[in-house]
Amino acid sequence: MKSSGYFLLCLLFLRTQTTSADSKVENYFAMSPAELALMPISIASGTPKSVSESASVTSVITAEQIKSMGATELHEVLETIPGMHAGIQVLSGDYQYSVRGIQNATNSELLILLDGTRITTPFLGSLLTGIELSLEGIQRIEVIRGPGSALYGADAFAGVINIITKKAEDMPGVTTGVRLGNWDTQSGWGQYGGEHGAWKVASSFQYQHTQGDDQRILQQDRQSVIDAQFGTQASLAPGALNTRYESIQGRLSLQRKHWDIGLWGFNGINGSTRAGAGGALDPSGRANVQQFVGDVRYSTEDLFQNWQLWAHMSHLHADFDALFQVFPNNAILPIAPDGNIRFNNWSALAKFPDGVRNFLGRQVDVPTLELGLVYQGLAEHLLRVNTSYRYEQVTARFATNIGMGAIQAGSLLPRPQINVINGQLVDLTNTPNVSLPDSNRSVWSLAAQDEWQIAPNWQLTTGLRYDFYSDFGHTLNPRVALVWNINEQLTSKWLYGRAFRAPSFTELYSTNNPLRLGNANLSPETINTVEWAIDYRPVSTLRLAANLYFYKLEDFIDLMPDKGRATLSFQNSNSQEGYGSEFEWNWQFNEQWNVLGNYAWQTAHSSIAGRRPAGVPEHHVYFAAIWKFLPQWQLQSQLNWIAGRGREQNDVRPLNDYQTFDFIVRGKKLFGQVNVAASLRNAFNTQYVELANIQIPENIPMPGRSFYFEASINF
Amino acid sequence: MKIIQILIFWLSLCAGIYPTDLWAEIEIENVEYKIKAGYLFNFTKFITWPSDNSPSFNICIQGSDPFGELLNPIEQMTALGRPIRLLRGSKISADEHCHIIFRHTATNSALTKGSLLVNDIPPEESSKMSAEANRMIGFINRQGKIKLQINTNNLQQAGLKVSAKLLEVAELVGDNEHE
Repeated sequence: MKSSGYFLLCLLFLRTQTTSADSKVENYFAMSPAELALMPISIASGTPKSVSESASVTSVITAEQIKSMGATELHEVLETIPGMHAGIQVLSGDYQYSVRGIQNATNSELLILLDGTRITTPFLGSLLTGIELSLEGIQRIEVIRGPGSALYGADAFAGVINIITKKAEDMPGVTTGVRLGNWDTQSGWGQYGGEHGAWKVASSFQYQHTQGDDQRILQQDRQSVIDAQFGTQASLAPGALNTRYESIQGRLSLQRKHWDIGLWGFNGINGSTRAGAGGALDPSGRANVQQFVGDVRYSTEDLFQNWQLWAHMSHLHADFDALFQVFPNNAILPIAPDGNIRFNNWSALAKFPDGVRNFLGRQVDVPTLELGLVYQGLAEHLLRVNTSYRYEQVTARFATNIGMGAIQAGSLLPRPQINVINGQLVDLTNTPNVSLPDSNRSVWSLAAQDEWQIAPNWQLTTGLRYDFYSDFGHTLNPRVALVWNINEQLTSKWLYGRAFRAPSFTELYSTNNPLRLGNANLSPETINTVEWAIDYRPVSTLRLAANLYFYKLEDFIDLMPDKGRATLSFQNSNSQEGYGSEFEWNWQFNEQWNVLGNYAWQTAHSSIAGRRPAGVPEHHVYFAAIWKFLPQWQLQSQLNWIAGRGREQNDVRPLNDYQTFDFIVRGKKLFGQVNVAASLRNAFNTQYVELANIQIPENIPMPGRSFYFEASINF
Repeated sequence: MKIIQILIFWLSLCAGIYPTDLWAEIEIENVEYKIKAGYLFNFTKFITWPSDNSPSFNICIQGSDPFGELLNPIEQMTALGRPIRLLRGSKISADEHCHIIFRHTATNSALTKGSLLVNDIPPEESSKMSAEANRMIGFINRQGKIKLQINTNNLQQAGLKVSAKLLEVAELVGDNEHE
């Protein structure tokens, strides 16, 4: 709540200095020729370029498109990117993304940046558990599909998502808005953009709350299976998933010549445990999450002719606390000699009248310093060199009523007698039995890239990046991109890149956990990808793009049974090969109608018995039609079709194809100032599921039909 | 059920496929053309125009219009003390004097006194030598930024004079290239 108060205060203060909105409607008219000449048209891969010319396969979704598609959360936007699918992370229940069939049990294999600063944390290598990014403050989302480690380093593996927030020129004046929907969904936001002396100031905040769909019913959960085994009735199934959340998000941006300063904060309040941390329904579990990112950039072209120098300093701080039940009240569970719950090699039975309870806390700190040079003095070449240092640290807090340190397994009565263990938590923080010991590592990097204009229509980009990790050692990642502008309408690209994903601290160091154990000897995952892409713009109103790709992923990190033990641990287990194609279209075929969409096809096989990766679609179609039926009104209708998802061997849970339809009506600049919208998402209430942890008897039911109404006003 | 859903979806799409005169704007969220729109307005200020009798300052978009509605707010501005008017397609009559003529696709045409010809330069024409004979100002993509190519000779022939503010961000082509 503190952050919302701050932004409200900021808004009220700045409002008094706002000039009329009309003069800022098109800020570009107020810019000088010199300012216009410095404005990048798109930032997709290091050097600003148009999407068709960028040295990678790139998608850009603008704020206008986000509004048009009716999206209110990040996963709804990313689902429309070719080759990308938002499923469910089997351990946390958060949304998790697969790109071209690549995903991991704990990790989306993606790097996520906010205005170019890394916001994924080293705990899981993905966004912090419980973060649901809201979208009002976002100007555009750039997605690179394919490897990006030669530019961005670790985790730019299957792709890179760069979320660009709104700057002063993107939201001139003051804007406030509200949104109300079913499931007690509410959202309110405020934005300010303006100039104060030499500084351009942008600030925004957004509050968002929902109780979630109470019809996402699990007929059976993991406890149902245990009940059947031990003759108990502890399970809360059938019951609804716990999907409520409440969040406040804020952003402050200050820009002037040479300087760019940003502060972003997210506060998730009493977030939910979805299907339960252990696969058993947990309606009372709660998680609180806070994340802050502050960054300062300085760049200058004034010091030396042909040289641009830049520095970027950032600090990410995150705090996560969760108190939840792994298993419900009155569960009877088998206890192994080490004190953990295990279903093989167990030696005692225990009843938990207050359930199996866990408190998990962790604090993440990641300071980063980057320094770079761009040299433009060599004819037809643009040279970039940069170096960086990053320190990653996670400190954990852990309290539980089960496991090593919490109970003395040796003192339990042997089976078949039933011991009783109450719900009192034992604090294991700073003991050898904490779930994750305090962990840290240092990361150094050095990267160089050359963009060579071989001929007027040919550009060759070559890059190489060296990373040194204090835990697993070093890695070298090259990339080559050849872009040929065949003519004004047609561009062709040939791309090769190698990338790596650093093992997360969970994968390296987890201890005292009945579900997963860390492995300090892990190597990074690596991937080699070749791509051919073509971009065709026969007329200014039509764009067609297609690509073909092949990749080989090695040292895939997966949970595997430990030899001679009853535990699972993370291991570099296997490799995966995949290939596929993506096709995109966007056609403004008259002044009223715009149709756009994409089709992605992929197939991938693991080296283990040729298995297909589970839960990722073989076919994915997104189709949208925008009809501007009045000058200021439009209707967008869209279809999302998912087909051909694979399953693990022995997984018989249905994972059927599905399609959802959405309809969004918007009115813009009514009376010059007011915007309104109404959205009907999953309009036909399609009942569909995403892949769940194999220990849950059913896959995860996804949200049914939802609607909202929204209004905003710009002063 | 699936067929019914798809049918309803397509009916919702087809409901609007009929002509209407109510349409007035095209929304294109395009930074590139916002920058070019900004340049067009700067041309009104940083080019010296010969006198004429037109009651308004006219910007004519010939051929396809990549700006859409984002150029429309320029009509709230003034140039040479007159309101700016946007003229597109059929609204451009022979009687109207176009101070600025924008063409998305360049075509070789005769120079007109007091008219500035502006066009997009496609990537394959980005080398200086390929500049067309009668080109005046071209928008060119240089490493993701929109710069200008200016042929000052052609501007002079049309009676136009360019301010140093524009020349600072321009590549000069034609006989003045090496000045």
